[in-house]
Amino acid sequence: MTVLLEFATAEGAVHAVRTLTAVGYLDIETHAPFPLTEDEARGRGGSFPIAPLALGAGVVAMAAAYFIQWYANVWSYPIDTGGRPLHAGPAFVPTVFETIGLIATLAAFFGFLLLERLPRLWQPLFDVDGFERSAVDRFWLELETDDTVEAVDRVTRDAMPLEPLRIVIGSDT
Amino acid sequence: MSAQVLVAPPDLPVTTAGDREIVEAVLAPLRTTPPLWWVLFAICAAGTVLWLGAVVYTVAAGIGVWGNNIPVAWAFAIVNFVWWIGIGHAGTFISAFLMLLNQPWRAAVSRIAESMTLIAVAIAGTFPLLHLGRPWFFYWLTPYPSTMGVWPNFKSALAWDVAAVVSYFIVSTTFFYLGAIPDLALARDGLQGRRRRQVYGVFALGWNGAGTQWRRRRAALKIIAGIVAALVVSVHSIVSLDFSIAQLAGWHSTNLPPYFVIGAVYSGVAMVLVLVVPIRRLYRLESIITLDHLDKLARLLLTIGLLLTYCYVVEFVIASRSSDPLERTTYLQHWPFGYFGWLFWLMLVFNVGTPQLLWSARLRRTPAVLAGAGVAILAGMWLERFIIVVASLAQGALPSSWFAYRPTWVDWSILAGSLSLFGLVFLLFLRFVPAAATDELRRDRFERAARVQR
Repeated sequence: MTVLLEFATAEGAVHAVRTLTAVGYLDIETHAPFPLTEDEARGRGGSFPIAPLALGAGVVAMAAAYFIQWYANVWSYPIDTGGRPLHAGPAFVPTVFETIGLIATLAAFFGFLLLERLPRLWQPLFDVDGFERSAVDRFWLELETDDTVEAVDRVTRDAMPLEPLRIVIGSDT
Repeated sequence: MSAQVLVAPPDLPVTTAGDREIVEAVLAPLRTTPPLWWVLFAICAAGTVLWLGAVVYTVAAGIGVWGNNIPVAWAFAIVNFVWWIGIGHAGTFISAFLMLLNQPWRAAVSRIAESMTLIAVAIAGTFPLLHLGRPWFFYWLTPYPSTMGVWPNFKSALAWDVAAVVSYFIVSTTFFYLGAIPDLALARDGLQGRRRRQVYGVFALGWNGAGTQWRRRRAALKIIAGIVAALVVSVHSIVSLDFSIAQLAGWHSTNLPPYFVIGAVYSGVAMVLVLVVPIRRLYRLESIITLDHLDKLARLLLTIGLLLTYCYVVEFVIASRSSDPLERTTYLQHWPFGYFGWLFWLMLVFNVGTPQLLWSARLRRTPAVLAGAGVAILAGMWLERFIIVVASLAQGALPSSWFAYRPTWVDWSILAGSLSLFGLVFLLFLRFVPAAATDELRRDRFERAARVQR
């Protein structure tokens, strides 16, 4: 069962995250128009492999770019321009460097999309009335609870003193 | 007595606008269009027609309609290419370097600077393509398995250029887009009208502002910022290698890569000022891009101006000590007193003289002066490339082949038209893309408030 709490201010939302965490809610996701501070903008995703992904892609790109140049200029189409060596390592460096940057960037970007499973133009959350303001000026907390009446009651009881604008109880988001 | 370490308060510009005000200021241009926008749009559209006409004429008739001829084989096309690529450096410089250095004030101008970069680099790319003569064969420059069995020569600086410019453009676009996603979501949810919200919704990719998303996006952005910071230095270095690996006095110098990179960032920051000063007035962004921000940019411009001056000095000292008589003659006679001598001195006035105004704190906080200085420096940087490219080629080792280059009307039309095209695309950007990184501005405000409370 998902419980959503809507807050008018970032301060209110951050205070709520701290309070609820202290009383034992560990599975809280925030939705805010700007990133709340690192420890507060907690989320379900643990560590994420974007950096190793970019590094790996960069290494592969380095090898591929060097190989393509070697294959093209030494093996497939050797042409002697002014007696320069066919296999000219230093002259291959600029293209290798640029290719590393290009491929590593694309890996970081698409890695981000993949991890976040974007694009996802519609999500169940978007059907919650007023949730669109989470991109403008409202701050939402998303909690997971057990699927029992008691559990939902407990969340409501714990959340009430935090003065959320609204508490939305959904079956599944 | 225990020594107390005093830490000076960071002297950083702060956006004075409130939370609501930031959102409204950024969404307002997407809602309504000021009359002046239409006037500028009409002017730029007319100029773009001129550009299109000149380009079509060039492609149809061949590049013989340009003024360049042996020995001045490279002229306006390459000058404009280097100039536009240079302008396209500031966006990334401001965004990526200042992001890595944790300078939150960059958020006020980063979006404008990044979009300027993309447009400038795209326009720069058109010049070498046209210079190919048969631009429809441009893909021959890329390594692809062709039935002809021919590959590009990767020992050529021109092949490096292709890799550098194409990579830089794609990487900058990615950086720009990833940075803009939350603001596109803001437009999706903050604007009225179904069609508009659908279009922004598609570009926002389904962003839902979850803490995890913010963290992952930041991780990706930081990595790309690190890469693009390295690329930005490499791109103009590689462009400079077009010149420095050639055996020509005025070009053949190991000094060129750093000198070109500094010049590139110089013209880019100048262009940022030229754009930001009118925009903040037209769209009432004075509380987001404050005088403090302009002051910071002006200091950046002054610093880079001094660095460039140092490069000039180094270049001439090295040339004057050279054992190659042609190199000495090129730098000490042909550039300052040759066919284009007056342009050389004009360049020095613009590039070395103009930034000296910015020692004055009062002038640094006068927007009109900054925009004027920006225009002068842009002109100066164009002249610098003209001197390097044309003045070096026009008077070579053999006086009998000297050639007093003159551009034709087609050359001028393409240059003026490229400025209009830039203006046109930039105006469209202002109309349709949120012009400041609201998430960073608002987070900065939030953190500041939290610090005050503590």
